[in-house]
Amino acid sequence: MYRLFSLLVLAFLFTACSSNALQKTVTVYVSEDQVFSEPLLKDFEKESGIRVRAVYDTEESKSTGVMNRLIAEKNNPQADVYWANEPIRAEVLRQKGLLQPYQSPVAKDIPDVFKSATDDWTGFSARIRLFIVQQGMKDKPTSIMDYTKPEYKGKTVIANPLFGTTTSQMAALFSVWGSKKTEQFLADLKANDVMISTSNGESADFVASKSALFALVDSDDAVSRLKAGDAVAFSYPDQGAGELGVFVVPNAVMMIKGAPHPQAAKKLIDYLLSAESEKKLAFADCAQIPLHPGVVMPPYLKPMDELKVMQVDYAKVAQKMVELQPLLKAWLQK
Amino acid sequence: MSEKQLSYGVIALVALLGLGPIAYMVGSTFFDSSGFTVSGYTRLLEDAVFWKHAANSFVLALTVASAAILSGLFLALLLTKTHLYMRYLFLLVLLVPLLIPPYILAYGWYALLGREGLLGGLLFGFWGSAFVLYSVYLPIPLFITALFLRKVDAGLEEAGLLVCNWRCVLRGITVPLLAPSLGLSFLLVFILSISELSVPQFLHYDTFVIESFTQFSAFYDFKTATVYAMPLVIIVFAVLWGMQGLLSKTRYRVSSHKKMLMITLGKMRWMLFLGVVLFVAVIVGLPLAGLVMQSTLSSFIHAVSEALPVISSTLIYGAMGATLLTLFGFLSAHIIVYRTTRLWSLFEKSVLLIFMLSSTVIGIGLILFWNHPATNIVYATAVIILIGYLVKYLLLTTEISALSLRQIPASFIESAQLSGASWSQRLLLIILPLAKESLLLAWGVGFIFVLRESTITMLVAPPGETTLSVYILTQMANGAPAHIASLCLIMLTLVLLPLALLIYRLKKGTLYDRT
Repeated sequence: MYRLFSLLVLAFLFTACSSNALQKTVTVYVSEDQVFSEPLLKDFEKESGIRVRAVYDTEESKSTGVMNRLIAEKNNPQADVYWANEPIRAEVLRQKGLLQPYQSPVAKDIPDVFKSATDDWTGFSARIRLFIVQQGMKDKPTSIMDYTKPEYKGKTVIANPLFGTTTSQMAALFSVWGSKKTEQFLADLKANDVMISTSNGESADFVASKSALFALVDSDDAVSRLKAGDAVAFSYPDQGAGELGVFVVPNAVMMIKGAPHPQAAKKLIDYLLSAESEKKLAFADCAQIPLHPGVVMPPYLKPMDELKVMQVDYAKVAQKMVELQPLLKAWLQK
Repeated sequence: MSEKQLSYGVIALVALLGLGPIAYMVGSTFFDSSGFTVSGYTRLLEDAVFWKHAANSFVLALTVASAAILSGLFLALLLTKTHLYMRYLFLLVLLVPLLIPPYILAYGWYALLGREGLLGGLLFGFWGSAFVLYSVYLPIPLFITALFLRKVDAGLEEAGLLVCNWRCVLRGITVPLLAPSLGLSFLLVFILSISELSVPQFLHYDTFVIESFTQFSAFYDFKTATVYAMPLVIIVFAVLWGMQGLLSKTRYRVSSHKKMLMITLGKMRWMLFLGVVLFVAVIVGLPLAGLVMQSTLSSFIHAVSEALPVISSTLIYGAMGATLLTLFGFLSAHIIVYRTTRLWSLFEKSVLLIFMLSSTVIGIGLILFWNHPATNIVYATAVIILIGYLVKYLLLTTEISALSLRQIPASFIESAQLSGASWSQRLLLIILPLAKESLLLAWGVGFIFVLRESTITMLVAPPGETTLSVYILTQMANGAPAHIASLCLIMLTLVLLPLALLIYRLKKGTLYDRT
């Protein structure tokens, strides 16, 4: 009994100490899908010799699981770096005072619109919000206002706006259009019987299976269906003169205030923000669009400098997103 | 150290590790920056969506529990009270869904049916969630009823058979005597179904556990998340109260020293055999076949090589968690069976209460309770995961040990006491050797349940630490289907291999009863 007890105490001490045994480490919390982010982090490990200890979000708590850990750990931070799959959450963290400003030297030519004004976070490798449409569709939608056209009544789909990038896009519309116009748009969506799916992936599946004519989704969802051989095509919304432009959702990387390993954190941030990392993410299955100009990318998506981009202040979008939740919840219940 | 001191030590530790986080979590919901408040609860009462999801949960749990009880009763009668071919094999195979993480079964069905078409459409939503949960929890009424069937007084059945046939005896005597076991099974399946997160979440059916989890993981609002978990706690208390009555009834309603009476199937034997084969094939075979079909040999080899570090850490966590569970389960059983302190009954109920709470509630509690600089050695390390396992599954190993301790004749202990043996000598030299088979069983059960756990690990695992169960969930986001299916098959192997070894080992022991 005593021997067993001693063994248990030893095992406990080993377990307690093992996690902190290595000095040259960096801890990163990641909301980008593990299948896309892990290879890049492993490359960083190889090239820098710094061990990466990562916490990945699971599918069911996508984009938000690790956010809660960061918030819960505010007074006792465990993470050095947070790799968010969108900048809105980064803004939420900034507003809660969790971030340590850091201006990365490798991010100089990333447009300022994709950076925090206070250097709290920096965007890289973006998804865009585009239409996935049935292949061969004659009049492809060209604006998000097409959702409200009578000829598409009951034939289109959008992901639940309470979650993910659809929430961000709604918040962006509120920040650009204002409340009155956006609320009217939401009412028109309802009136036009737009179907609500549980996720962008499901929306894309609806189109791929011809259950819907088109859907506003993230570019990676659309590319994955195209690569899988589904009969789908893309359309970039609101590219005309006087129109809004596409909503861009860059990844965002940031340093956590009180990070236990600040030097290693800066190295990792620099690595993720490099043009080389953006190229890797562009050619990965997630097909993310580089923000550095001139980075080589696959042919099925337009580079950022050929797109008209929606001009938004992500800080304002983040603020709107929190305010919007009750309204969107009520809209869903109508 | 005296027996009492050890008992109080164990009770204090379990209270600190398990009840502390829960009390801390609940307590925090009544306070905000302005002081005492019940605003969170007022919001909960006014939240129409939450109550809609609560109704969904209730209907889902009711459906699963009702279906599991009815078919569990029928199967228990068929597999323990008749001479059906291969009945022990059927019992073992039907146990498999309970031993693997429920979402793996859901994924197996998804691999087989996809999202499209009539069946794919049915899978995503209420019917799919209900069916998967039904197949996961069917072993509970099946095995509990099978166990209670052996206690039904054969004399009563013999008397009944003098005046009518088996159908009438089953309806009038056997099944009514099984009512407490059916009630107990119903309540267990109901609670487990209503608190299940992964299956309804994967199959897109909104339940109030998802709502509570979403409050935590989508709105960063810990207090509201806790408030939203409270209805589940209330249900747990109601169930505890209900079970109390049912369990006390079992003490005098059933008992028998006679051998169980068997039903002759006659011409029905082959038809029923084929029916059970078909049922087992659908419940267990098809989803596993879905995984096998989606996986390829190369993807399986690739998955093994890629997930090797995760597999190793999963096995280490499994072994350490199972060892802790076995040790504390044995000490807890000692407190409960020998009533070493006046707190034994309260302690027993507390262990049961914690088991009944959803893993999300426990996980949230652990974060709120342990996430402080002073407790960094616990929260920032893998120790927090082990605490989670210990707290969640202590009931299982306690009950297994208690079952064994109750079988040790009191005269053994009394004789040792009269001969001057101290309590520690009695514990180490008499009780422990006599209970070693059950400790092995407890270790095996602990190992399997630790391996299949994902929610607590997901919420509290320190950076760089993960288990296969969580790894599969993170890979499900855009991972290749063949890779995910292969990972699920690896998980299945990890669970079934120790189970097979355990059964082989216990076959030689005294606990395994082939009656």
